[in-house]
Amino acid sequence: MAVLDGFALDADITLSELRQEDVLDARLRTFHRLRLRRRNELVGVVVDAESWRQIEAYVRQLEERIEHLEDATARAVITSRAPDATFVELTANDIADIDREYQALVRGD
Amino acid sequence: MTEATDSNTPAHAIKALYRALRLPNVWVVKSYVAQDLANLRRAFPLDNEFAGAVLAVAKELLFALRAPAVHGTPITYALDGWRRSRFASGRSPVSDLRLIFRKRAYDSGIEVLAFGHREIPDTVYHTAAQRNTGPRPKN
Repeated sequence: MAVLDGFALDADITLSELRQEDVLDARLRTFHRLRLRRRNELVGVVVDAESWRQIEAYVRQLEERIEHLEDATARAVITSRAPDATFVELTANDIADIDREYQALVRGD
Repeated sequence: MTEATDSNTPAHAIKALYRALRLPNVWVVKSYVAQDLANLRRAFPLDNEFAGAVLAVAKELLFALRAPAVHGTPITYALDGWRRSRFASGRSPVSDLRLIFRKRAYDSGIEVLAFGHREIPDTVYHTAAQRNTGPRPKN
């Protein structure tokens, strides 16, 4: 998605340039997002307000999609397991049974 | 890789999970617990990570038991009160595990339907899909 595309080739600003309002304004108008550098070291990014809003909206959208997928997956588990489920409070013998079955599954029996 | 210590070996973690599962008011399906535990073992091949995941499940069970009606998130369109919660297996902030449970209708207990890794195949969801064509669970 365009919101998270990479930075343009010249979309850089140095820490010292960051303090120059006209430079910062011009670069943000041109690129909307900038790599913030100290000499050759990348120390952060600077984005304009609109880009930040887009990123936030994109993240919200992704989170909503993830929630839908989570719900769908959980419903699949419920559909598969719940009809056959007989719930019990475990005894020591039950724990031993579970452990045996677990060990067998791990061994691939 | 972190070396396993006494407190984070798989055996120690599994015992802790069994203790949590044996608490009063925790209701489970025995075969599902064994399968989910085995799938968790497959999802976390390293001992210390597996132990961390098992301990995280045990801890999450306690949270769910403490507030079963509000812990986690209700599952949309799933009737009968099922809820899901996400939680981290280790020190990472990423919530890579999931618990599916519900509050029992007539007491303060919980029914635990599934726990497992959220993304790695061959975990609880893979097993659930297989079960659709496989044998009935043993209880």
